[in-house]
Amino acid sequence: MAQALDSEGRELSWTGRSVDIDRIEAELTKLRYLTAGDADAGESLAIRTSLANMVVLAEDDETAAQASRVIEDLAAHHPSRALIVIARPSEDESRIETSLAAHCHLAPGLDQHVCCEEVTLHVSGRAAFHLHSIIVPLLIPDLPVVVWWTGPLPAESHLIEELCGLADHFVVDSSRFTDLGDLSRMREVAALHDCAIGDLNYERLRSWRDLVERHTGAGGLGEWISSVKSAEIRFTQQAKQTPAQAILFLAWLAVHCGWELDSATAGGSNRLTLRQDKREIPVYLEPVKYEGVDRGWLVSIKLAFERDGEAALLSVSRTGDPLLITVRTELPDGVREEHVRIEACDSQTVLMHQLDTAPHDPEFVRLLIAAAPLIQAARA
Amino acid sequence: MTAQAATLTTAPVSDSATDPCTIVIFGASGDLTARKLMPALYNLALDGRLPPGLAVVGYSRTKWSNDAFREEARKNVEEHSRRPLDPEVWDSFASGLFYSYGGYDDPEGHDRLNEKLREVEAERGIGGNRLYYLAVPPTTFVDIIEQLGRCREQSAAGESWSRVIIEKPFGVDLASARELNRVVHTVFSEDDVYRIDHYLGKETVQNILVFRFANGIMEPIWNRRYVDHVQITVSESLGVGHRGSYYDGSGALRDMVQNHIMQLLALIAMEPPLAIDGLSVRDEKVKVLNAVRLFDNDEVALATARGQYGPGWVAGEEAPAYRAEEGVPDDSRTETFAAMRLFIDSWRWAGVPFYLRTGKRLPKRSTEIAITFKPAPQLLFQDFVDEPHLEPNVLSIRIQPNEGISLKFLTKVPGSPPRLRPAAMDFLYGTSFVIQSPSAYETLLLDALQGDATLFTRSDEVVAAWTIMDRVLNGWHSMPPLELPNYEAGTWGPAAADELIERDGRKWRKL
Ligand SMILES: NC(=O)c1ccc[n+]([C@@H]2O[C@H](COP(=O)([O-])OP(=O)(O)OC[C@H]3O[C@@H](n4cnc5c(N)ncnc54)[C@H](OP(=O)(O)O)[C@@H]3O)[C@@H](O)[C@H]2O)c1
Repeated sequence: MAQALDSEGRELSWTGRSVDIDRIEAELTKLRYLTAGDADAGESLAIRTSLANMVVLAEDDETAAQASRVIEDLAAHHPSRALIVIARPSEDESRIETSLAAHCHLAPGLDQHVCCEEVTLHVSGRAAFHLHSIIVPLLIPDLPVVVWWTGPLPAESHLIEELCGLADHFVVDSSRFTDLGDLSRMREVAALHDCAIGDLNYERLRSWRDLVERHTGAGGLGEWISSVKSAEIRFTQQAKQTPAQAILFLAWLAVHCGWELDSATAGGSNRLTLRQDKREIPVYLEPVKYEGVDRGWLVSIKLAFERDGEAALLSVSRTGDPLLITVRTELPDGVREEHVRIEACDSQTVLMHQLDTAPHDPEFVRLLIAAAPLIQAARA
Repeated sequence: MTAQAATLTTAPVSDSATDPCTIVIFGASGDLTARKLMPALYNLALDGRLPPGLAVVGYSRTKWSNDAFREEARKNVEEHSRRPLDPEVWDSFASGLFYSYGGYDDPEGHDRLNEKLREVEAERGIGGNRLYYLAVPPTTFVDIIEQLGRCREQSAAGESWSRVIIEKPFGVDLASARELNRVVHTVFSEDDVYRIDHYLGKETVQNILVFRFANGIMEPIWNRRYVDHVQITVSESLGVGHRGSYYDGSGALRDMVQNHIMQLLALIAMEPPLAIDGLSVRDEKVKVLNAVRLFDNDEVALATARGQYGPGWVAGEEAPAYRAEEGVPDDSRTETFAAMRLFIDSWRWAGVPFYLRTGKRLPKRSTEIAITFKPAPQLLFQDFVDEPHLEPNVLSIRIQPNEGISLKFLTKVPGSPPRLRPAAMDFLYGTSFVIQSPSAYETLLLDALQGDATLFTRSDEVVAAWTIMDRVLNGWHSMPPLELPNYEAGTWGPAAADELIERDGRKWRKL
């Protein structure tokens, strides 16, 4: 067991091997008392204002450490009790290793600390198949539960179902999925349990969607929207996986432009065909090399329009600096170019957006339902 | 506010308020003595709160000497005390420990005990005040009481007092509880009977009355106008352990609902007492229990649920089915889970449902009372919330673990667009008071020594609680047998419990 002390000699973290839940609970309580300060000694009490329980399922220690940093950074805005769970089902011995820590921040404008607890659990052996039974006792009662599943979905849905049963909001990152069909599976499970679903990968498209929406609205290419001749979506190369972000963007684009999603067919490598009013629209999904941008993320999109013998073009693309986007519109009456700085798409920012907005996002759910044939075609 | 002001003990406790006396523990070789009573007495000694010269005389069938009893007690204190053993305090405390053995219905054994008591009392100069503690299985209560009656007749008691603490369960149904009351009253007057429900010794349970009646803002909203419903949950993650054979004869309703949950219900729902004393508080508790609407068999089917656990996983460990537990028959039909909806037909509570649930092998250990208030009108904020209704305010009083009180309310998420989200204002009992709370048994033993019965159950309270439970037991008895087990260990009980509350458009709280 290791113990860390703060500057006043208060023990603010704890580590235990092969511990039971009662022990973890007791240590958590101790931690809460320690961070509360000594009222009789005139110390102001630390405010414990957990607004949610955040349950993170991490594949390994590295992902767990990243998640821990994200949650700590979010604490000022979204103070929560975090449970970070790393399951190791392949190990023989069934046991739980735990470490606890309190993250305390000085509250702006106040002479008080805001403290949140973080529990990291390494669960090995058969217990790893019953994570639900370990997580539930450690949740703060009656606060919303956000589950953040950081990796690919498991082939077997049992744990996902159990977690959806206790979660109010289930956040995944489809960029980590090996099969984008898992997004549809996730949606179905979440719907059964009345649990809201969010996807960080879709959240990363927010700026791209906003830009396309703005430039294809009134005053832009609004009149051309139903005359797309072809589309090209480029994304950074990734090994073997379905280009989740590109497909999600395409699904959004198809709904936005009124294309028939159930008409999607695969036509050779990297090519899909969709229809609008019997007209075929070829879409090219092209992996490219691009420095400084994570694998699978969008690099550029290009929409070619044709109407009454005239042509137009909208291109939205990263230019050097990964956060600098160039939007170029070519219309018969001239060319316009605009440079826009978009928001970072790191996990902290996109998770913050997820938590800031209403968890139930009917538009996203409708999109997932509509996109099912497209996802199916893209897998082919 | 200090921790003392938060207890029900009216006057600050001074040691002089406690007369010199002897505590006689029947069942001194048992589990309760080892885990609770000895550590509690030692902690009282540590705080200097025991009467001067106090003697503790253990009695049971196990043939121990004084020294063996002291050695056993030391081991138990070392293992179970909330504070470490101080050798100096221990030596002085241990010099007051004595032991006598014999059967509970054996006149010779009791005569020997009396002889010993007289010796000890004379040697220590502590007069004849005695506090008898029945820490034995309930099957022996009557034998012991009868022997105490016989011995008392032989020795004119004079000025000194005799009190008896009786452990739970007090009866197994209404008839047996009445009969036990009758027997007890042949020897002791009601004022000298202390029926223990250790829940009432918990600081947070006592704090319910302080919270309700010492804070002006609570009482005006504590009624049918503002309260939508109340939920009381006593959930345990453990199974029956080595108590299988005892538990199988009892079940969740008798083991938890009839006593602990009924006490919590009474404290939450009672009218303000005239004073915080044994008479006034217990008068009000009895009144509210008598106002609980009694079930008929149809209502039992509709408004109660019961279950028994099958195998599963709890807290990361595999849990066997109830029927596979030690001491439990493989065809047992005993319920390990009980839930019900009660109404209190009083001016204050008419129409407000009280949902109660308790069970073993549930996902976590938790005891709480939650008062859900009626929601504010939707009008102003309907665009800012995800749900069709605004979330109601909930006041939850946690008895264990993490004793405290929290109030859930809606708040605006910083930034725009405006969005409302529930937040909890949390008061964690232990963080505001630096001193550690005494254990329930410390509080209750001290109260009994001082003759304060406020936190003990009176005979009419026991009868009132059994009257409610008897209807449920009869109803269950008349229903066709359930398919058991009907819930998996590690879940929140059988589906019928969810249906019971969901029929009213409500849900059990997520704990
Ligand atoms: N243990 C707890 O945590 C707990 C909590 C709440 C209430 N209680 C109540 O407190 C009382 C004592 O509980 P406990 O757990 O201490 O019980 P226990 O250990 O089973 O019994 C206490 C002592 O009674 C004697 N005894 C046991 N079974 C007997 C029998 N069938 N006939 C006659 N004597 C018997 C034994 O002493 P000898 O053989 O030496 O005579 C035993 O050491 C019970 O009424 C129980 O319901 C206990």
